[in-house]
Amino acid sequence: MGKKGMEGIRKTTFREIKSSFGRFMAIFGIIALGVGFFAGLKVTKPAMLSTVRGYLSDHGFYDFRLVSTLGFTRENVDAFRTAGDVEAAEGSVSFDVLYNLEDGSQGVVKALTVTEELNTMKLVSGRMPREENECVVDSAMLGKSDIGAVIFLSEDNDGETLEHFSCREYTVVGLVQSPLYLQYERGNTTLGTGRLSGFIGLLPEGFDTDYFTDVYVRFRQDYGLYSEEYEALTQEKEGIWEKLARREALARYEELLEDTGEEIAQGRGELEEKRTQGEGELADAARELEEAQAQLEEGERQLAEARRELEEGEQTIRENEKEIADAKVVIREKEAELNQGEATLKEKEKELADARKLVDSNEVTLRSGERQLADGKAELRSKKESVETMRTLVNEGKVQIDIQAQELARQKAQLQAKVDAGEISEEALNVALALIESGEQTLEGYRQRLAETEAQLAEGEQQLEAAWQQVAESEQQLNNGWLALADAKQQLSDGQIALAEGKQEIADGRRAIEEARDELEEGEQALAEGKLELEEGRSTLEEKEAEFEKGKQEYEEGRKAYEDARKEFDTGIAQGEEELADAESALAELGEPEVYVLGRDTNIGYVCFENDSNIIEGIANIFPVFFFLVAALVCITTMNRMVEEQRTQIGVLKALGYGEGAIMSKYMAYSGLAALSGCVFGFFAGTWAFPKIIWFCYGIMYRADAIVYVFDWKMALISLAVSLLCSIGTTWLSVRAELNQVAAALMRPKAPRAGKRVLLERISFVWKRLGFLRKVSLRNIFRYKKRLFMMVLGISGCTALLVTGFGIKDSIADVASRQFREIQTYDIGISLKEAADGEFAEELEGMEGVAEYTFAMEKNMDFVSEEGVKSIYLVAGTKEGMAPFLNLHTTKDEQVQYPGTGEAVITNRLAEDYNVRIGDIITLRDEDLETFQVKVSGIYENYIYNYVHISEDTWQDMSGEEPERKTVYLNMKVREGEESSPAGVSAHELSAELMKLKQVSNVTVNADFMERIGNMMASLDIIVVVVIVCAAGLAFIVLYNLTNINITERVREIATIKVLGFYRRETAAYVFRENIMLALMGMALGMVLGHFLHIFVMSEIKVDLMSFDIRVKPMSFVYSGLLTLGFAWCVNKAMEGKLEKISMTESLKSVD
Amino acid sequence: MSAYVSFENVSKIYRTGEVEIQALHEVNFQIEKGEFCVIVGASGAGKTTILNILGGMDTLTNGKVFLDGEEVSSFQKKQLTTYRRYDVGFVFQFYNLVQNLTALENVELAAQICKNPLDAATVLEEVGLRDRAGNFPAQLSGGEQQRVAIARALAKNPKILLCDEPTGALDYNTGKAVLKLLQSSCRDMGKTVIVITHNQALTAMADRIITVKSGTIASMVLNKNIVDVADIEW
Repeated sequence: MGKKGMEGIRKTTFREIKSSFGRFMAIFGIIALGVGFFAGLKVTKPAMLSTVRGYLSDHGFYDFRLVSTLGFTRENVDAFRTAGDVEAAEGSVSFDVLYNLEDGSQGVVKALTVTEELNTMKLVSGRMPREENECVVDSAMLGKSDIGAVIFLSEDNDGETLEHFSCREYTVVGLVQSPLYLQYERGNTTLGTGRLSGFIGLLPEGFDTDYFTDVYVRFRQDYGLYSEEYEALTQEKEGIWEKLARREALARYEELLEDTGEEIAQGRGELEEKRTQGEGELADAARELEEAQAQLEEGERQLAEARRELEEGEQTIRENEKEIADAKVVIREKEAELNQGEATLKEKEKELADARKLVDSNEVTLRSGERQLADGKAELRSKKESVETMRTLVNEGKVQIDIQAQELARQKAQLQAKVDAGEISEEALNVALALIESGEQTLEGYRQRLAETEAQLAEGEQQLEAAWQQVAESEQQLNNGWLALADAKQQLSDGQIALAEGKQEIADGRRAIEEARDELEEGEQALAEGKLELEEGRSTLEEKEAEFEKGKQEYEEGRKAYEDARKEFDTGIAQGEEELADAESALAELGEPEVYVLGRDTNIGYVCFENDSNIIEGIANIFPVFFFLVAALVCITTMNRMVEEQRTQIGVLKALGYGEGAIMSKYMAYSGLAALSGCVFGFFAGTWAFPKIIWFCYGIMYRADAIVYVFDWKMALISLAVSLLCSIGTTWLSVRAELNQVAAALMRPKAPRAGKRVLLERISFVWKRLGFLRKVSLRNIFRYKKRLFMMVLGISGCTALLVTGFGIKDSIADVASRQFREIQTYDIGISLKEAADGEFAEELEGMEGVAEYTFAMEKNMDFVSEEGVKSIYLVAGTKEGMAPFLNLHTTKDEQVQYPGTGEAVITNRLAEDYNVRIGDIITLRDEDLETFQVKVSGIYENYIYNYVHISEDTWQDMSGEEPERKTVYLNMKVREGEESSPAGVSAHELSAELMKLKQVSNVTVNADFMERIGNMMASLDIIVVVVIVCAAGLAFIVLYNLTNINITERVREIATIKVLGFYRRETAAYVFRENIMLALMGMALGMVLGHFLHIFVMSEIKVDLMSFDIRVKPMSFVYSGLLTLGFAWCVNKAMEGKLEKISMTESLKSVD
Repeated sequence: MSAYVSFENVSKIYRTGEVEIQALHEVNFQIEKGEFCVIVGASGAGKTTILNILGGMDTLTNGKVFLDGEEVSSFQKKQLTTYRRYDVGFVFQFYNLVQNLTALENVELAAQICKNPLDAATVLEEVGLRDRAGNFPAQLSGGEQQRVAIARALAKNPKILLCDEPTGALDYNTGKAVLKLLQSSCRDMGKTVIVITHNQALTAMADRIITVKSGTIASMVLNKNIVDVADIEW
């Protein structure tokens, strides 16, 4: 066969394609769909892995995370860096901390170092931090609008936590993603609500630590994610690194021991120093204060004095004023007096002149009197001399008498002496005595006479005396006159002098008054000045007083400051001491460090990503098979039909001498071209679109870069091979069968396939009842088994896909409402800061809308089994208490008994995942790695999170502690008859009220939770849409192709029917009734298939915290069915046009 | 008034792209009720076009066609269908039986959509296929199939019976039998039968013979000397 022949074949091939473009497109379409589905789904996992791998690699995702109970130092990190195969090692700090935002929202975040080499953060918006008080925040936690906000480290943090941070508030400068958090799960914490809201990134300066909490290590390796090579590598390295890490940790330990000892000593020294310094300073301050106080007191006194002085000054001024006034009066008086005195003086002058005249006359009188007196005196003196002579005589007589008397007295005494001595007798004596007596009498006589003379003399003397007296008196009078005169004279001169003096005095007085006046004026002036001064003094005083007050205030402040300082100092010192004591005890307790080498398999995101990417693989394994099967069937029927149509042509070609190969090549080229182009188109479209769409869906959970395009040669070849097999292979089979016949036979019209009775006809009572046209359809349906099979498979596939798509949504979307409507039936969950007490209960009782509540313990623990560790919530309550809030039942709605003492009820998911059966003993571990064991008494249906329920008694027995009832389950009052609408207050109003209680740390409204999950589930719609589109594609291709074949095959029949006068609708019904029947059959089968496919797909989908309620809602079956019928209807509608176009003249043609 | 079937200045032009083919040109003829009419002509003369137009399968470009007083040429698509349904019975060259239906069912297929159908079984009996009623077309011979086809057309009780080369795919004797059946249908049942054929021999049995040539009516004659089918030779 020459080239020309081939040319002809090629020509007919291209013409054929052109003329039967619909058929060509059918093959192209189904192959494209099959390949697209296959390659697209198959490549999605590698594309996802590749994307995440690129992302992780770009951001230096770690291979090992080293954790030591003592942390690591820079030196340790350097040592790690130099170990074998290490690409990079970097220390990082990580602490969980309670925070709140300005808007009052709060939570717990993990603060991480913004690392430079490993686990680097990807900036989503804003910028990276530059200052120690700046931070970047998890882009899943805050939005763009929060840039510039401030994150406050909560006061509720314990001091130890806060000590790790340099600042108390950090400004958000950017949003980031971290490779450590590949997906939405942020993990648990022991703080606050127990769940991390996200992470924040701080500069190393943002932390106030001298060690790293984690060291991340990355090896020089480029193995695929989750690959066996990688597993092998890490397994091999793990042992080595455990030793290495332990060695470094021990070095750190030794150093720490030493350093800490030194530090404590140093700290003590510093403390002492501080103490002395502080005390000295305080003492100084105290002294200063005292001085200040003294000054103040002094000031006060001075002020008082000044005030007094001022008052005195005022007084004085007042007095002075009075004095001045008085002085004025006095001066006036004095003037008056002076004037009077002058007048008097003049009178006296006159009087004096008069007196002088009188004195002169008196002197004359006196001189005459003196002469008379001198005469009288001389007379008297003569008389006196006579008297005196007489007196001398008398006196002599007297003396003679006395001498005689004395002689007598002596004689008498001698006599007496003789008597006594007896010398003289008595007679003698008497005689002697008589003689003496006579002598004495005589003497007496003498004496009398003398006395008389004397008396005469005395009289004379008396007269003389009287005369003298008169003289003396006169003399006296004269003398007095003289004296008086002298006096008068004296007086006169005195008067004159006095007058002169008076004059002088008056002159003086006048002068004095003048002077006084001057003084007075001065005084007034001085007074005015004084007043002025006083005013000044007063204002000065006021100023001083104000100053004083200020001083006083300052002093008070100083005192307060001092007291504060004192207190601060005291607490500081106490704290220092306490810290020192703590440090000492810590040092004493400091044990050898525990070291952990943690691989990537401890990273939630990394692990979940493997699980989740496996879902795709699971789907990718089943769906494409299905599509290829359909593709193969489509190819077979299409090509079969084509070959049948062209058997005459084949016969002609054969008769003309074309070889079998050449003839074959025409059809193989036809189907091959369709398949090849379909394959290429499908491959690229599929591998581009599927990963993109699926990654978009995953974007809800995972945050990484845009999906990378992965071209997989192997996959491409497989796709090509399979599609060619489907097309060319089936073509070969079809053509082969025809070519086996001889040319002549081929050129004869092929006998139409005989009509056959179907099985149903044998059941005549059914058959008879069937409408006539239905019989035709039924016969037609069973006439072509291959087509029936293909149609049913295609349609059932479509329905199954739809059922699965809707089912996925049903299974996931309802989880939240089932969880919270049927299992955890409480309306509101409350976390408390401390265990609930009676006071709190009272407060709850008083709140509007609260119907009932119970307290329970909810605790984050690890479920430990041989197959792994799983984080769970342990709930300890009482049977009675929990009854209104928790409905424990199995998936088959059988009630599960609340666990008794020593028993636990666990979730079905936990039981399934870890193969736990009722009666098994499970192990739980708390954060201190203490383990507890309980017996499983029941397994209940649960979807969200994993719970282990025990009774409070069990907890008490297990832990030996009272359960901390920090969780409250609360039901709200509902309106009668309306289960869902709360009476009075809404759940949110109640929640807000609850938040105001000081004991409450968090309130969860389950309705919110449902809504939130509902929103998340909205993304499932995308999946459903993808599935619907695929299903529609499948349905259209299959239906179209088959209908097309059906119609072309039956053109004559249809034309005949039309000629017979069937109306348009009747014709369509005649033809499409089969389609609809087949669609119904396929649909029914598809629902069954879909049910199983759904179960299979769901079993492939594993999400960590949720298990699914694997079920398909009846409505989903309805929707799937309706959609399938809808697709069939669409195809039928489209085909009706084709029916319409069938010319009735076809009926006149011969069969060929 | 006018005849039962009447073509008045009927022209038909087929347009395929640029090419115009004048299939019929100013065709005029009448056929009376109850007549057995044969339209004869060479291949491509336009007889099939006449059949298509008369059968309501095709429209005309110019002119008017009447059947029993109704202007078929003015019918819309739907009316044409109704027309075919109630007024026309077709007998095809290749029988055009529905393979999936038995002989009886093929008859019923037509009968069930008509207003006054004849009983399918009776008609089938009349065409002599009572015993083969339950057979599928594939199980019948060509003549038998054509008889089923005729039964199908008759069962509709149409105003006219249009037959397109009814013997074209049949052997001589079978063809004769079929023609006989058609003739007796005309005679006994009073049906207006129009047979289209290229076989001149058949004209002998017709009441009216219309000869078509190059899209025009070459002649239209009433046969005075009607020969029984059995006596026709070709």
